[in-house]
Amino acid sequence: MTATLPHVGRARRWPMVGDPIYEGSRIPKRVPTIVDVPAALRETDDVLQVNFGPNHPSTHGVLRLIVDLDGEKVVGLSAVIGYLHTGFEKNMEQKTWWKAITYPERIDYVGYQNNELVFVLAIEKLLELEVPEKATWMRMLMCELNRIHSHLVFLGTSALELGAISMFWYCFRERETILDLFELVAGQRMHTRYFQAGGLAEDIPAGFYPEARSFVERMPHALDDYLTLLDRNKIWLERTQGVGLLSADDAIALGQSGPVLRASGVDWDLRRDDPYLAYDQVDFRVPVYNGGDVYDRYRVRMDEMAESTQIVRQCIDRLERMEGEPWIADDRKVVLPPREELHTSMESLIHHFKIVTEGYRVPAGEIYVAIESPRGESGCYVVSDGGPRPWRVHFRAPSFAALQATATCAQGSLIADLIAIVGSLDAVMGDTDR
Amino acid sequence: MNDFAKVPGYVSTTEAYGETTVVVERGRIREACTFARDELGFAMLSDLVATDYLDWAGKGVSGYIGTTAGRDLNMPMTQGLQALPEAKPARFSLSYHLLALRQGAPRLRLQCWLEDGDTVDSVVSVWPAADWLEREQFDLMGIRFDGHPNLARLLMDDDWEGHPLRKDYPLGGEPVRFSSAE
Amino acid sequence: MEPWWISLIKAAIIVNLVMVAFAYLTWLERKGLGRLQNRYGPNRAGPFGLLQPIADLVKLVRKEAFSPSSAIEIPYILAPVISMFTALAAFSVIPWGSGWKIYHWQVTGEVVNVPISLLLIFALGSIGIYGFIIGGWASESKFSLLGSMRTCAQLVSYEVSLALSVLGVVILGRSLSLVDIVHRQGVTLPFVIPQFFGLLVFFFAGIAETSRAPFDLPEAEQELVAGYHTEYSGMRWGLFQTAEYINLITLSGLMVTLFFSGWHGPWNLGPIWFVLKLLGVLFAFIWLRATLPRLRYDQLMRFGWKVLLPVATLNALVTAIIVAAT
Repeated sequence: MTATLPHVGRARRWPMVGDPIYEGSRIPKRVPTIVDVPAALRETDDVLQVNFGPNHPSTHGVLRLIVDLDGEKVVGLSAVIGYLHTGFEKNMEQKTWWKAITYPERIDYVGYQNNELVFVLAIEKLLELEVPEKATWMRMLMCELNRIHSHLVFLGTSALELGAISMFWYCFRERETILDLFELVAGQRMHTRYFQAGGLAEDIPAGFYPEARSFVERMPHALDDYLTLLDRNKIWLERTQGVGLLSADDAIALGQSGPVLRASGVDWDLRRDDPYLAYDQVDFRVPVYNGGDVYDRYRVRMDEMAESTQIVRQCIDRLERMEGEPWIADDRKVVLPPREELHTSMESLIHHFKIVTEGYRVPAGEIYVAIESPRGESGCYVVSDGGPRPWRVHFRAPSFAALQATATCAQGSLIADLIAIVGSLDAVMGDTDR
Repeated sequence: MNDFAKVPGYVSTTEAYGETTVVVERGRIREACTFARDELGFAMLSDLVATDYLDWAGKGVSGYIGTTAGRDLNMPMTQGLQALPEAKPARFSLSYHLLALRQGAPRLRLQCWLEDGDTVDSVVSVWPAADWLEREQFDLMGIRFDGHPNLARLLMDDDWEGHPLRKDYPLGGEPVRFSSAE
Repeated sequence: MEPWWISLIKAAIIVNLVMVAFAYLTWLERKGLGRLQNRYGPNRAGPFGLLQPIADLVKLVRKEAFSPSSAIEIPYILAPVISMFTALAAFSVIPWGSGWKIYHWQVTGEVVNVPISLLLIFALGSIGIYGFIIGGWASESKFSLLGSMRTCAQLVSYEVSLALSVLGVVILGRSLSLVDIVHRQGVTLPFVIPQFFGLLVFFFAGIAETSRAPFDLPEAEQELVAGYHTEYSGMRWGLFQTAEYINLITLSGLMVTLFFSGWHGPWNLGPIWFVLKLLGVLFAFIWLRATLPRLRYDQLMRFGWKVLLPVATLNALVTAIIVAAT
């Protein structure tokens, strides 16, 4: 079934050849991450320079913003990152391919399944490995659950930052259900490492589908609750609408992706426009809003949660018909042999030993794989020299790109807006700093 | 042969795994990027990666840990490569991953090669998104970008020595900053 | 007139009662918020977590009170004391019972009956603001300074509406004494009915005066870390916190007194009615905190000056005209 996808939002508007791309730009200057204090203001004694972060309640970890304030108004801003740099890319070069799979999850520790997927897809492409259909659909299901999870964390924390403290708990109630599902499948709540090169680490456990289905039934009601609490709340609307503006052109120029880009009126979603897994076989819509403000970013994510729930439902429907099918590729050079074979088959024992100690070899080459993670385009550039370890791994982190837009969004805002803006860009500092 | 021959400073094109890599001359990378953005429609700079190919396809050692003498039966993971990969033209490659926001999501990898100490033109004026990306590669790989408005370290400390993602950066050990002698 | 030592005993009792009320208000708030947010709230110390406030107190008292090295010492130490003192003092004029005859002394239901007690409460409240401002300024931290700037602006602007909103009550009650106002309500009817708009203005302005959500900008945790008391720790911070909660209790008590006929109620239960009404009002504050996001600074100012103040003025004017006409 190849579904026709109804497009939400206005007609496409791509920057065409010869289009003045930066017209009406709010990009502050040649360094897009810095807003300078106007010289006239700097000479007066009224500007107060404040360090927001790296230890601050609402910088999502360790983002540091050096803010110049004129009263409550933000007149100067520069973002400083790197406080969570842990050298994942260097570490991965020291690990065998299959051990390295554990690292990407920890990079974006909120959208972990998606990050894991992008690395696994890169390995599989280099290996030219066929993945069984069941694994593909299960991956899609997990990724969409993860997308909902990530958006719930966004919604909870950004509402908390605007003072709606209870939203945090309501969102985490549903998040808890998702984490329970992950635990059921993989034994871990976060950082599941459920995706292997070639398929899945384990078969889908019995009892997963009813649990997942009951979640799918519940989620729309939960979304209604959130909408009732926030969207009908005058204070919430006033705090978010018209705040943190980012034009479509600026968003593209600044390399934005995902919900931030779609909230600026660009109808772009890699799941639809560059389908991976089996996204061309499920029915979903891509929400696009034109305001480019905090409110629209929140709405895009709300709509995406609803759409993701539908994708999860379709995945369950499909997976239930695949009972008993293989969940990992039948390639003994890459995939660990079944446990029971180790006791009977010498070859299996050797394969197991080789894969565990030395690791499998991946043909030499370079590849860039991009998927639509909850935060936007999550890319993975991998170079292999044909050995058992990656030569170079680099992650295109959507949070990294999103934070570059902080200064553009925050021009002329108040302190309180700044918090809303940073929240709406939904950056995960692990992803930004890697 | 293809549409990319018109890219300023064009050197070669390769296709692999459904991806197009266009190698351009190091000195003309900004022109090539401007061309790709304005004429070819690659409106977005997805990513910018530098790779260090020091000791690439060296003496049959996979990765770079291990003995330079090659295979050492007493050391795990030093088994030589089964096939030597192709040699690279220079030590560093710099890949610009471009994306066009149109049907089919075409992607393009613009690549240039440089040796240690070579500089390359900054493309911040083409895509503002390149600001942090270039700073990151400068920070971790030590590649200098000419004309970058604010080429400072991004992820590491400002006074950090060395560029950690280089292959010759020491893996173990850490200089002791405060020893008892001080 | 009662002998002076009775007032003294009553004052001691009231101060201690208010302190206990503060302690259990924090328990109530945490428990209430917890229930509203799908969680339990404190439930480890004692049954239903009832010993939690006491554990908190012990913790705060034993904690080292850090002070920033650049803080200006005397005002830094004095600030929480000022806030605490004014908060406690303000409660002295709120009547919580009709008065009793014990042995052969007539004991009134309030510590002192000042003829201008309403003005006294506002005056003490205004002095209390100094505690917050001085504390934020003396700690020499930018976040504290921003917090105290916000406090200053917010409390001063909302004080105006707060004072104007009770004008109607004063006109109807024909007195500035809270005791008289409560008696008057017992004779006629609770002023919430004729003064509904006055109540609304009083409630909103009161939230802002006590810096509660959604007007909790002075200490907006997500923006200014903790506002003016960012640099305070240990019991000094505890004093600020106490002052804030006692202000909340006082304000709720004032609201009960002014609009809900104080301790009046069926079966003449006196203080029990007062406490029940007080709890109702306090719950409204907690409920609001659990539900609403925070306003932005400019929106807060706009609301105070452009909405509350005109409504309060109109309300007072209309009341005055009606009272004069009848």
